[in-house]
Amino acid sequence: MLTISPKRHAEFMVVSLVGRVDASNSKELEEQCLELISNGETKMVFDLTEVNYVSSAALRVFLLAAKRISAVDGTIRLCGLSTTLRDVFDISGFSKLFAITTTLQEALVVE
Amino acid sequence: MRLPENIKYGTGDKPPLAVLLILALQQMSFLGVYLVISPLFARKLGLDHEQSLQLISATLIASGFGVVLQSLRLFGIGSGYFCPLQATSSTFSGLLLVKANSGLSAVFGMVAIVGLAQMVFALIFQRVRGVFTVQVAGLAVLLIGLGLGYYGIKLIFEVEVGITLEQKGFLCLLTLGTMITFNVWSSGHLRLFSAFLGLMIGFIASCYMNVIPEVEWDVFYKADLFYVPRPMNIGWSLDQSAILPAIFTGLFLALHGFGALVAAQRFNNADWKRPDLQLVKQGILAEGITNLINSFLNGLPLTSSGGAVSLAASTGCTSRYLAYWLAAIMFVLAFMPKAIVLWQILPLSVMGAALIFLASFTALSGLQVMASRLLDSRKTLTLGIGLILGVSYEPIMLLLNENSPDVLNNFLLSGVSLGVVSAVILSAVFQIKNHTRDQRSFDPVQSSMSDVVLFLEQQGARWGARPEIIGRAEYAAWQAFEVLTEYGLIDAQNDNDDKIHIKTLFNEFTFTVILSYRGSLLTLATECPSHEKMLNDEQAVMQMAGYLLYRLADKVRTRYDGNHCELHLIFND
Repeated sequence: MLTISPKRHAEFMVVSLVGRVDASNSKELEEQCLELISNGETKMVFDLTEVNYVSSAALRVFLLAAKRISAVDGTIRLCGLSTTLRDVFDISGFSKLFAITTTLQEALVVE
Repeated sequence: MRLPENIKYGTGDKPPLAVLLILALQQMSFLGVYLVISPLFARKLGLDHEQSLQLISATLIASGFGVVLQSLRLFGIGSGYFCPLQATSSTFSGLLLVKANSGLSAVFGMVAIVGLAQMVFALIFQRVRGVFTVQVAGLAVLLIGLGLGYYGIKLIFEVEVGITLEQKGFLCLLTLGTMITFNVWSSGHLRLFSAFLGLMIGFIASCYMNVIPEVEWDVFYKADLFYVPRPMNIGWSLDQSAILPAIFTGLFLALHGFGALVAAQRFNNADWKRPDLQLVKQGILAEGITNLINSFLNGLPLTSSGGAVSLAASTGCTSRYLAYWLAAIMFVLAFMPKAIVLWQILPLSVMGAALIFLASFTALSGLQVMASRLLDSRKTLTLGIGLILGVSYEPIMLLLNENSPDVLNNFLLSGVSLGVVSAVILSAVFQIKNHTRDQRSFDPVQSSMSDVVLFLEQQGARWGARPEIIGRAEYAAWQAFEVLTEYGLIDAQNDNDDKIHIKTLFNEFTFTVILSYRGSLLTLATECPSHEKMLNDEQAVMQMAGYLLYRLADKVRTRYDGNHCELHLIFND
């Protein structure tokens, strides 16, 4: 079960996810993300505070979104990762692809 | 690693020179209290004054060597912590038994076997951690603390020539009160030096009250200011009858060291959760090597001092630089009989008060170590029975009327050895059937991921391990279940065989999740797929899953018997 809630915070599009991101719902997440990027979003933040599981299939979605957004000089930030999720992103080498912050407030800081 | 708020100078910090020097003197004054037991033991061994001094000098040199070896952490030896070594009266019974059976020189041969035994136990502890648990080590420290406090009380109430009971009471209250006042109600340097200040004020008051007998002052005046210690002046020999008492002595010294080293780790890390067994092993190896050298110097067996570690923490400085200054003071004192004698003329009530102060920290550091993990009924019984036997040593010996069989004599050496050996035996017995098992079957089509999540969450909560380890175990099991169901690894043949059976098996240290099913084996990957491969190859997602399982679990195993597949995910706490 996954709830995807995109919401604008100034120049950032914050996508809050609640639940587990697995093979059964990763396609839905992929479609929404790619649609947001197609609509011109260049600064996206994924709030994973309420996510307890991101499977290997879901990792691919984050990778795809990162590739698409970098093509338009955009960025993706992740925030609120649990210890286990942080481990998963570190092990898979994905933490090098994204700016990862502890809180949403930190992710919304304009550089 | 975050330093606790009460620690002003941590392991790697370098305090100012003057502070280091006074703190080292304070540690010396504390450890000097232990040295006082050396002449008492020397008397029991029948050593003359010269041999008694040599025994103390040798113990001081070995202790100085040991504290440096412990803090340097070179070539896999030493824990890196400030963890001074002390003699303990708990070893005396074993040493006296060997002396009675095999003569004086065999006592020091026994010290070498004690050192070797400590080194062997250091290696065993890491491998058999289910038996030699941190709680058993905590019990050893607690019993040593209680023994120390008991000894302090005995010293206070012991009849002394030239001093009334009222004077003894006054000196005791003054010494203990000074230590408590500076430790509890002062801050900064005064708190750092509380034990030293207490001893100083107790000693000055003793001089002022004229309660130190003339004969003891004579010994002090006649003692040389300097002399050269002569190693091996008493002798050294190996005797077969010393082996068993030495192994038991080595066991509880190693356990004592275990407890002290765990306490040192706790005191230096505000976020401490579990002992670093590698550092514990290195620390006990350093103790063993020290005792090997100590044996040839003709010194008393040494072990890491829980009291000194507690003193360092309670006064706010656990810097390893303290070790070098303490060692320097120990080396200098080893050459100064007059300074050694000074501890011998200290009134028993002052000494007793210091022992009570320090015993409080030792005993409580043992209790903290014992309570650092959840205590189930097995551990409660192990520690409870060990503690009761440890504190009941005297009535038990009275009951046995010293007619116990020889085999029993080897571990009825002291309350500490009786309590610790009993706890180790119980801990080993309680390894029988100490796994909790559960199993549930899931339909790969009908079952939702929520069912699997719920089952694993329940099992993880029952395991009671650290949340991050439970999180990893749950994650890996979910990932495995997802790959099996989503990527067609399950054969759907009939209603009974197409289920995924998830079995959990856990004890205090290990949590195993076994997924068994009919179908194809899940391929584990030792290398992470590239990001390009992840985007262009659908199979790379499965490779990533295999790689995540390989990395998240401490051990992963797959098995195929021609009919069923099994995936074992093993996690250590």
